[in-house]
Amino acid sequence: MKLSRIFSLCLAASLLTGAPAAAADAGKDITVIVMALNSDYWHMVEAGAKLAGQDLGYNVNVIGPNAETDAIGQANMVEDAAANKVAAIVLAPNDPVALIPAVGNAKAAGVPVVVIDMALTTQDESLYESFIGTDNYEAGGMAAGYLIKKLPSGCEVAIIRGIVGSSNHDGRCNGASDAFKAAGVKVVSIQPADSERGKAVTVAENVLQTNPGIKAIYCTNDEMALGAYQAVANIQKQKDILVMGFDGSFGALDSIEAGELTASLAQMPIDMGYSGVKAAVDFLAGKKLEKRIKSATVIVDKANLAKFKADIKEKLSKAN
Amino acid sequence: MNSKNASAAARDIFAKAGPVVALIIMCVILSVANKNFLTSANLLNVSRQMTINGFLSLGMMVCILTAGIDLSVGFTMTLSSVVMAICAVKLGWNPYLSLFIGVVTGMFLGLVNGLLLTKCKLPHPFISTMATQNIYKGIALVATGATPIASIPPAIKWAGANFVSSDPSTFLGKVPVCFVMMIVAYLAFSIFLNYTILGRHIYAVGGNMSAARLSGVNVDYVRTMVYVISGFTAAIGGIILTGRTNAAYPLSGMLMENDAIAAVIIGGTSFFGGKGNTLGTFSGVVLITVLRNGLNLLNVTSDLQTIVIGAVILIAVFIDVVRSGGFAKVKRLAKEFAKEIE
Amino acid sequence: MNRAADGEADAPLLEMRDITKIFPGVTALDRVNLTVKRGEIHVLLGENGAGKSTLIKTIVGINRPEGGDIWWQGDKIGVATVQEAYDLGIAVIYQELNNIPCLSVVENLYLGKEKKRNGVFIDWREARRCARIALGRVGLENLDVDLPMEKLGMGHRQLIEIARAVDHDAKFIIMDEPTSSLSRGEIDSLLNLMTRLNGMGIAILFITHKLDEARKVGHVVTVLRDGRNSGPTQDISRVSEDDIIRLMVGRTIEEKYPKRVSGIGDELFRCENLCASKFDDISFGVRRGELFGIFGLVGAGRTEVARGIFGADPLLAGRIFVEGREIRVRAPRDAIDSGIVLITENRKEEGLVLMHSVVENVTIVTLRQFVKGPLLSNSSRRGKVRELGERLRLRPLHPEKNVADFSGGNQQKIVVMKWLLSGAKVFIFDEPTKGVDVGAKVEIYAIMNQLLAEGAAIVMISSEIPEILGMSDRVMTMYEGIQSAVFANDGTLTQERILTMATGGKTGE
Repeated sequence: MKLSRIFSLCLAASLLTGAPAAAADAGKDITVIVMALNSDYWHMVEAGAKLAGQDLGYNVNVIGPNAETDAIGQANMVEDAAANKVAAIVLAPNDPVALIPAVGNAKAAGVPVVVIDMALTTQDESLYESFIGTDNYEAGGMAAGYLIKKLPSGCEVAIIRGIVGSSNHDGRCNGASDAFKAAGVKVVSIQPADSERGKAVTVAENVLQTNPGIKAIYCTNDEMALGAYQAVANIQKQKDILVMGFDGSFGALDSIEAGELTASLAQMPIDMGYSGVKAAVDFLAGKKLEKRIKSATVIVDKANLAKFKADIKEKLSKAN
Repeated sequence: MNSKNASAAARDIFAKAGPVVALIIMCVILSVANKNFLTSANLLNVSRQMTINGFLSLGMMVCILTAGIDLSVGFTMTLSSVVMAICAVKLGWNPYLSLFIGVVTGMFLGLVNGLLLTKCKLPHPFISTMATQNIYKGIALVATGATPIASIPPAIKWAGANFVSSDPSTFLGKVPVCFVMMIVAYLAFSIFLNYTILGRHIYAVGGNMSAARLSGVNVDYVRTMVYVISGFTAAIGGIILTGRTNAAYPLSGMLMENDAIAAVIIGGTSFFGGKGNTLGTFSGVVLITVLRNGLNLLNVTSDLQTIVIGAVILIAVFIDVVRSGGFAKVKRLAKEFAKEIE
Repeated sequence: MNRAADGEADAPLLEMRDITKIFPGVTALDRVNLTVKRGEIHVLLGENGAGKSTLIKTIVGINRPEGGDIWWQGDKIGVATVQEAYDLGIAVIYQELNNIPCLSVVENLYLGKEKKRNGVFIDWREARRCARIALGRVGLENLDVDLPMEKLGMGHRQLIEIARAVDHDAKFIIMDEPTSSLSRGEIDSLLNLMTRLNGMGIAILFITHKLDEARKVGHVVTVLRDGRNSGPTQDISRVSEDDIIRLMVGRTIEEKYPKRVSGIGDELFRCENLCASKFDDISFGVRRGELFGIFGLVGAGRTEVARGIFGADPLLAGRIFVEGREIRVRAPRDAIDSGIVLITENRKEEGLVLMHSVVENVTIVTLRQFVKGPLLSNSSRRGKVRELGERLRLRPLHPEKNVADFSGGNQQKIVVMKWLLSGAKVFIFDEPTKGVDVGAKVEIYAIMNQLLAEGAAIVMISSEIPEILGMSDRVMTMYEGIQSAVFANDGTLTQERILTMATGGKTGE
């Protein structure tokens, strides 16, 4: 009995930390569920979403599972938000298929869903109100175009990509590799490193070992680009090999500033979070939404870095 | 003497009902903290969300009862669901046959774990199942090409996606099939563990392996069977997962063993074997699910959720230590501590 | 016998007053007093289960007494850990030695008290130098200190533990039956060493049940019986052997070993030429109603023979017959099915699942008997166990209680109940009375007699000669894995003859 009391005290203490958020007016609640709250990228989405909440007069909560692999955990979050009778859900699904039934359940419960970042692989477009995301194939092509301009024609490049089967990484990878081929640049290796920095170091080392002649490494996210740069620096070839990332994360920006990474194809996660919430609010206000909204991208290199950073800083300071 | 007996009896009841008491307390707190907790829509969510871990935990409990562990439950689930989906979707086989193949796959993967332990004499199931966890994960990734298999036929989805009645206005129309399956499974396991020879042998092997061996119990058979059972329940979990997500995807089992072990331990099963029951594990499963659900409703981030679940495990194991009186010192300290609390 | 005769020799070093220790269901110590003076060798006598080991555990803090005080050099102390006792200067040499086989002699000597250099590194050179000095004090000056412990015999290992104690400035060394696993020669040198240590001013508490050893080195004697002081502490030279036995046993041998009236029938069990790694060419037969005793020192291979017959360890060769029919034993199940059962020496490790109930333990072998339809019937299990419990006078008669809550004697009864239920005919008891009190011993003997009266055959392995003599119809002695003799216990058999054969002597000697 005594122990159960200790037990309940601990529980109560931990639950109370979240309790104030629950006191708000339910009709003005929007829940944003991201792939996982474990990287700068998703924290910027969070900031953008909160900013939109402030601007538009909604109470925005941002949650997400511990790992991007936890699809069931995310599905549970979607269903729980629906049960919590929020006004709308903004979802960045971490699996293009596994989240579909959960989105269907939310829809059945009368809660509208706006999908951001990763598209759901479904023919049934009525499940969600709108999809806002980067056109990854197009963006991949853009990134390749940037590198092509800096490289001699006919040279060799390598691509390090995220997990096979993720539609985002498929698009980023295929868009770039098609653009390289069209420009006569040889893609000698495409290797997955599962979006992890550590794995990317190993993968890049192996790639450099087998293809010592490559002139550039393009990675489908910034974490992997930072890892690949590490491998390049380890063999003192940072002057000869360009390393480009994708996302525009803080780590990558710092690295560009330090003259390490060449560039990153920056998504605008703050804008994406903002427009996700804005779309949901527009829908609640009865406005008609486009099914597919492309979010903006920009290539950040040393030239435009300062402006880009200042812009982010301003938006982040507004959000907090 | 009499009052001593009474307090001992009370302690015994608490020991058995501890997780249930904790669960009730938590539900009360949650329903005060969030008005949507006690709605039928949310309870429906909870009942559905607990089922996968519910099945994995059943198998895990049986393994832990023999002082073993099955770290591969997550990817046993994944691989059997993947095999089932390949049969049904890619090969276009009869869905009922595919279901059967999925279950057999799970049991086979469990059998591999068991034989590694008893025939290859690997020193501890922690090692063998950690190894097979990686192997099963790899096979699942290779078999699917790391892409989810979608468009699962309705007969397979039924368990994970449907309700008992197709009429949503009735009560049965709100009860998920998988929840009913889980309740039936827990009742069946309760009978299995208490009223069958294999069930009692599982407890004896976990309680004292050499005494069981010298009592003529076929220890190797028992220790193999528990992993087969674990594979079986994992496969059922896989069927539900496939229905719930309308897909078999290769990383679905990631870290699933954590919640299963947590539920079993919170439910009062001794990590050293021989002690534990299905009611405890059931409460552990419900407790973890309600905890996650409640924290979601309160918009607590997953980082904090992880801390809370870790704390709950610690408290539960602490209760186990005190209860079993493993060493008198801890008991004495706990008594002093409890006195201070009062 | 030179006592360290300086002025302080008579001052009490350790005083224990009214020590009471209660375990669930048993009062292990009941107001026990013990005073050990500086510079004496104090003999503590008592049968197994008299409370000697419990008393030592109380001195070094493994047990917490429910009542009584302990005084050390005039100060009242409450020792909480073995380490604290060690720091005070109290060391215990246990029957089962406490060293780590894979580590070397020098590492074992300084384990936990490593010789350090710069606070971090082990100073091996210094450690070896000190080790040689320490070993010299116990007569092992020529031992290679880098040998792993497992390469040494029991006698040397024990001496190394003593050296460790001496090296850590022990003022008081407790030796718990130190001679029980030693050879004759080793025993003599140990006894000499004890006298020598005593000359160095170290008090010794010598726990034994061998009276000749006690008389050889001891100064005073305290006897425990059933957890109580049995008479006052006396000068050992002033008490006769008969007095001591009376104090230890409290009754005559006849009362201790209840008489059997049952007759002996035809041969029930026979084994021929059994061989395994630890024993060779063992053959014997046992008849209905007969108790066949096996005596041997630790390591003679007695337990291994029992385990081989039972199928717990593999046999290399040999044949086993039950009621004249040859049986094959590959696993315990085969032996059980043929009616042969083994009641192991260490009930807690190998005989019982302590955390489970009596019902669970008793019926685990025979669950098949209780299957009604597809399921087990718990009520018939309980009923059967209650019935058996009444027959063997299990106390308390609570089938649902956990076995851990029963006393040693009653736990033994629970093991017997398990095998009775399985329809066993041949019972192999390995040290059946180890660690139970005298009262329970008599009850266990009564159970054996009851089994014999019902037509069972019993093989009893024991290292207590009185028990062997008191209970057996025939006695086999074992020495180093060989069956050295078989005697009929016809009243002419003596302790000496048994011991001679069990230590490698010849019958003619």
